[in-house]
Amino acid sequence: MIPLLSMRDLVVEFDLGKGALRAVNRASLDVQPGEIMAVVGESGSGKTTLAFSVLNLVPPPGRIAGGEILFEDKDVLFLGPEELRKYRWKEVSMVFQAAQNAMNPVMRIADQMVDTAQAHGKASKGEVLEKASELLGMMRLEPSQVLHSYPHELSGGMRQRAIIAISLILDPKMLILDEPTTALDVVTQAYILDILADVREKLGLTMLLLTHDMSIVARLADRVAVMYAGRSVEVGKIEEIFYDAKHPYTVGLISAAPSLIGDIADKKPIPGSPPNLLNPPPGCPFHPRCAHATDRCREEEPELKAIGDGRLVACHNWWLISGGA
Amino acid sequence: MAEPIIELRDVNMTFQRGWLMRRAQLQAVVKTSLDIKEGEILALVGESGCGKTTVGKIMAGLIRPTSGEVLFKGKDIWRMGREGFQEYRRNAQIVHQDSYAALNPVRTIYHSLSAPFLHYHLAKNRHEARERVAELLQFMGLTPPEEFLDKYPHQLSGGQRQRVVVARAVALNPKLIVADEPVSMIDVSLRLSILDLMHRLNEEFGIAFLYITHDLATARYFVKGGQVAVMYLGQMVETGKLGEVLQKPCHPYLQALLSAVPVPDPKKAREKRPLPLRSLEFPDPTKPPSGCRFHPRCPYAEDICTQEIPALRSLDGRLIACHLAEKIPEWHLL
Amino acid sequence: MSVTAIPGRLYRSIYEPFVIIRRNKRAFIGLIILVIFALMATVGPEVVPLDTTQNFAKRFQWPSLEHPLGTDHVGRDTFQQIVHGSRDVLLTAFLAAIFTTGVAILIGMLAGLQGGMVDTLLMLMTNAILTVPSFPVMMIISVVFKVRDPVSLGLLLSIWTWGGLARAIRSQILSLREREFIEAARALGLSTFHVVFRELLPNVMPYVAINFFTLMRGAITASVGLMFLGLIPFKATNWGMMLNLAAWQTGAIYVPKALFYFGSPMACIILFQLGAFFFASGLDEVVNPRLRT
Repeated sequence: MIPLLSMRDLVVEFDLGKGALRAVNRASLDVQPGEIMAVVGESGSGKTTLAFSVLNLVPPPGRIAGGEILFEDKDVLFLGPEELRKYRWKEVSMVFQAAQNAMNPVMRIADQMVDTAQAHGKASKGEVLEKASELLGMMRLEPSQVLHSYPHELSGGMRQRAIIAISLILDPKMLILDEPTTALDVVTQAYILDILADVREKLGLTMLLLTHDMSIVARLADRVAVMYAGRSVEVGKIEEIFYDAKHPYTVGLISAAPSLIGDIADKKPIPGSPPNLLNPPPGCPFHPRCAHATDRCREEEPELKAIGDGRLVACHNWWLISGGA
Repeated sequence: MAEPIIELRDVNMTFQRGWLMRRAQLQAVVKTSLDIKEGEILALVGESGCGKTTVGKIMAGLIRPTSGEVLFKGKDIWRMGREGFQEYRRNAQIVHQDSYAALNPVRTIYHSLSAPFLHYHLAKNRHEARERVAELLQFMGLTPPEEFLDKYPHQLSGGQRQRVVVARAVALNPKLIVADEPVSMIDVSLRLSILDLMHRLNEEFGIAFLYITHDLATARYFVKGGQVAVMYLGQMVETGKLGEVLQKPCHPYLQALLSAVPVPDPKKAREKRPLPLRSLEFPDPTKPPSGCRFHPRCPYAEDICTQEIPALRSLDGRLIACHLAEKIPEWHLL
Repeated sequence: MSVTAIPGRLYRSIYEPFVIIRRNKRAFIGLIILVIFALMATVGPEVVPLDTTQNFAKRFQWPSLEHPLGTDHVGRDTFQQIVHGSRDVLLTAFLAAIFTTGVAILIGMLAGLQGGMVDTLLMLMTNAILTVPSFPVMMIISVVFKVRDPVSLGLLLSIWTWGGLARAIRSQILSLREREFIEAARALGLSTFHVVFRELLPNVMPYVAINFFTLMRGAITASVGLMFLGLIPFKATNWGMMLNLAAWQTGAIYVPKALFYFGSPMACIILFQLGAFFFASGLDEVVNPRLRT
């Protein structure tokens, strides 16, 4: 299958006064059409920067310093302004982190929909509103009520669903979601995750889901890409990642995620702390915290290798690792 | 049975919101009773807006409740003399969620941690204070201490800062620490290490913990065999031994909550089906529903639920506030 | 470094800040300028003699080795006058800034901490002060009361200028009061004295320190303005008086040769302002530890 999105060796740097910070350091992943790919990482992993790069939206002082991002057959990093306008929101759109708090407070939802659609070329207001009603219905919202409301008249959960609807107004092929359920209560979160699974079925939508919460990943994702210190360290199918992880960080992350079920004694934190990206450790960035680290890990940075169908790991000792939830 | 160190009896807390014409009353805590025994770990669980932070601050003596009693060793802290209140003060400390806001940004770690030692004359001079602070940092896993003493809060990582905040709470060897979402702003891989640290404090020094959180999974990890109290919109709805309450929740709100929490296991996560509620939306806290505050969303609500506030009563070894507790169908987590 | 070696207070207050300023080119230039003026004000008058003998033959001369900045309308050396005048000028500015800051901190903190009626009354007073422009008020007061020495002039210059700083301090206190670290301090049972002076005040000081130099600049401008208008009779060596004499009394503006007599005090004022501004721009990093990495 030809992937819908194909990222190879992406490098994104931020020019700070005292040197360059590599937020993304040769990240690679593939997203197949119709699948939900979760990108997992904690603070400093580079996942948000990676998502911005897909839309070529990295804000200065950041700049894309290398690699390629192919959407279908176009290299996104080399699109001209007019082509970018056709690409953004129509082919790939995004729900930003805490977007529900960033809506224009003086525009009704209907107007925000129309405004967005028209900014990307679609002119017919009637068509937009019809589509909007359809989408809001899919979000299990009452279109007649929501379309005429202002953002502050809706609850957090309703706003988030409205935002998702706005992001789908131009029928994009792929939707990027950055932490779509933080700040929402558990019941609303479960509801929205259900809706996302539903929408994926109904619209054949491909999704790139950014999160640090392994529980959400377990609920929604088909495949997972794990990031650490700006690098992809492991990519694979959901069962492979959770039941047979091959990178020590992935194993650690799953062990460190507390759960309502299962033995508490199996859970433990990852020792050490996240790396300083301004001055990362030599060799593998995870080695200071890794129980399996060898001399080679301290000197040589591991390459992201394919070890199976769509399965990638960046670890010198991957065959020794056996993880399980 | 151990004596309760701090007891809340029928505590109510009402906040005034707004001005003149738009004045509204927010009853953040409604007729709540809670007690913590020596060395106990109690989880206070609920979602944002349920009043758990307010209860925590009342227990730590930082807010005076509108009515009700806060008893320390049997005496109401708000009616004590100055000395009694000071003794209570020393024994009830707080750990905040945001470690950056919890430390003075223009003071070094040494200064922030030495203040209690110097103030209470537990250290005779600056040298001694510095040694004691270093010992404290070492215990918290911040080694070597010299690297942290003269730094400012923004120069530390989130996990390190939170350890400093816990260190400060422990400095006076209190009987109780109220921990308000202590790990929600910390990276996932590090959360358990902070919880392990707090557990060590509980085991080695007998410090009781009121662990306030919305995350039931971390509550389960931290509390282990202890108690849990669940709040909804200012009311306590169910309390009991955490293991039992999670396995077989009796209150409909708790059942719905537990059915909605995702787990980090793909097979189990996809098997779970959330229990339906009549409405997704939280009511406006300044205009709470009559009677049981959960009734508009409860699938089992009957007339009595709209009229009377249910009191906490005993059922199967736990306390539950529901008129129809016996009629609610059983629900198991696994 | 052993645990008990406390970096001395001296090290922290002088050496570290110096290193930070040294790194910032602009701030370092500002520091040098200010140091030169400080030396001029303190040591200058002892070292440089003041020759007040009048010699009309030498009036309005161009700069020469003997007279680095030329001479004035009665043949006296300009440079000597500048040096001798600097002491009064800078002392006045310094005192004015101190008085203003003192009052602003007192009122701002009291209003912010107490709240309620106290806050309302203090803010009423502050708003009144802010609404009425300060320079005209100073003009009126200077006519009514005798202003003869730097201290009374300092008081005059501060009486109507504390409003803005007081409000800014009050706002900061209001927002800091609710922060978690203050709540933690209360939970630890630390005294109100500690909370005010060891927790709140240090947070306010960065802003105050930078404003100090702005206040000094404003005081100089105001005092020079008052002297220029002849409202405060002062020693002739005071820069403001020099400008007054130059402009009104001696027709120096019309005499090209008098350029240095008229221009020197003006240049000094401008140079001082520049130095203070540059220095203050680097001061932020010194007093605000958050900007250090």
